[in-house]
Amino acid sequence: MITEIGEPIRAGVVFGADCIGGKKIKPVWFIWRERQYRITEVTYTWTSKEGSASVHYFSVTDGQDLYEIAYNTETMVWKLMAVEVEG
Amino acid sequence: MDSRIIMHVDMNAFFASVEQQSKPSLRDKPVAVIGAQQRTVITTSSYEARAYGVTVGMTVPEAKKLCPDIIFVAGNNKKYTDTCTRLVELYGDYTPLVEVYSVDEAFLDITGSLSLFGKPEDIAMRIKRKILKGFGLTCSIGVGPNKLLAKLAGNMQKPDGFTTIHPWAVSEILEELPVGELCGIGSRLEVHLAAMGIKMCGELGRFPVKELVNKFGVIGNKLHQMGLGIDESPVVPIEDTPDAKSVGHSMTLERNVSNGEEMERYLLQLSEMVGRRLRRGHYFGRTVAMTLRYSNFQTFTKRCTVKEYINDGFDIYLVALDIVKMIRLKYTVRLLGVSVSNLVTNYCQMPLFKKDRDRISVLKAMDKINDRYGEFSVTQARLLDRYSHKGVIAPAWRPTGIRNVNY
Repeated sequence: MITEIGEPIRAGVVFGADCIGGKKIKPVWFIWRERQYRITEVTYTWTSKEGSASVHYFSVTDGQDLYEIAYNTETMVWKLMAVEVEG
Repeated sequence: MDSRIIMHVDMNAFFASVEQQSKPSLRDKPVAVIGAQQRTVITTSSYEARAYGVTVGMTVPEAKKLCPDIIFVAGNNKKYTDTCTRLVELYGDYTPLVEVYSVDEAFLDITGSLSLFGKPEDIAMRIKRKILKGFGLTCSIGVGPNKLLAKLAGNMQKPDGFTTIHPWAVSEILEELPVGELCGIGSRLEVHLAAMGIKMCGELGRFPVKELVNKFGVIGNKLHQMGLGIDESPVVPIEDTPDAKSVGHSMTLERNVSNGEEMERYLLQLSEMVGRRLRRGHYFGRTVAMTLRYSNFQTFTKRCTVKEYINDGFDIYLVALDIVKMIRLKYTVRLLGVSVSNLVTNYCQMPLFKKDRDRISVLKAMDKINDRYGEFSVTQARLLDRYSHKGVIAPAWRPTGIRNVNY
């Protein structure tokens, strides 16, 4: 089941890493509502233009659930966009 | 012209494969991608679903009947169009001659690339490896002396295939190949050809051209050439793509409507979308067309040509409204579309009256704000409660230019 969230998160990111989709940034963990989630796989990435901002989307998993997190290059804010819980 | 080497790259079950890569729980399972709304059909199905007979265009209940365990996923057009854009960049590493045929298919003219990258199969394998490593996706690649044969070769081995049709093998391959296998010969044309006793490409190539022209007009010549495996059409890169002949948008409505006021709001939204795209490409147009589909799928288009060239969404809306007023609705409406044709670029007519000059200034300011903050950030008050329509990726979509739509 997919739940849309749209809340800011804190994220740990490796710049210069090889990420799927040719991205050069790779998120490794994020903190949402004071809980840290360790990313085991970035499953897909895509970029969308929203006005003049580029928003980089990352579909990531902690090995259990699937999360969609996004980085807005203009506001420099990471957000948790959606969560898909298994089952 | 046929000393060329053309490559056709076809992403396998593109939308479904992207979703399976994005969501590990979908991998190796029958998956069908549907529109983001309920009233749409299947846009792509995974190979696991295809094994049950699920195909593009089926409705959800039809697919469910064939494959009870099928998983439906709402499509994400931004994901697919962005992936296509990055794939085109990847192809550009091997040749500047890349033609985006559709969101999941491209032609590459690699004739001049062999001295740099080796044999066609070396280039194909490099591309396949890069796509698999970079995106987790597979593709089928075909190589031939022209686009027709490259596409035919690409379709011969799916998924994850590679096939070459060498010039010396063309006539042997075509001899026993059903005509419907050729790109450009659809099921209706196939029936017409069968009625003339033509079932195989070999028969098509040998059939008197004169009779083909008598039956099909100018297409007769083209069919004759196709039967012989001849196709002289060049690979056209995006920057050389001819200017658009029309700019339009359509949407399947949230629910069928019969109410004039509700229809007007959809028309205003479509007209504003068309106006924005026209202004983005510095186009103006004079002919407004409105397409309407009834709930029984009966579809028709009505046009109206005005004296002035326009690209203001509200002007387009007023013309569309005039067209609607001439129609007496027979059934409820399922789909609406607005398009503008008869296009010119950089048209300039100095407005005589202040109110018209003011309107142009308002439009410019609105465009600037919407460029900065996103579509419909500033819009007509009536559209504040607009339909958040995702739509399907139009066949004419391209990564850049007027054909690029930000879904």
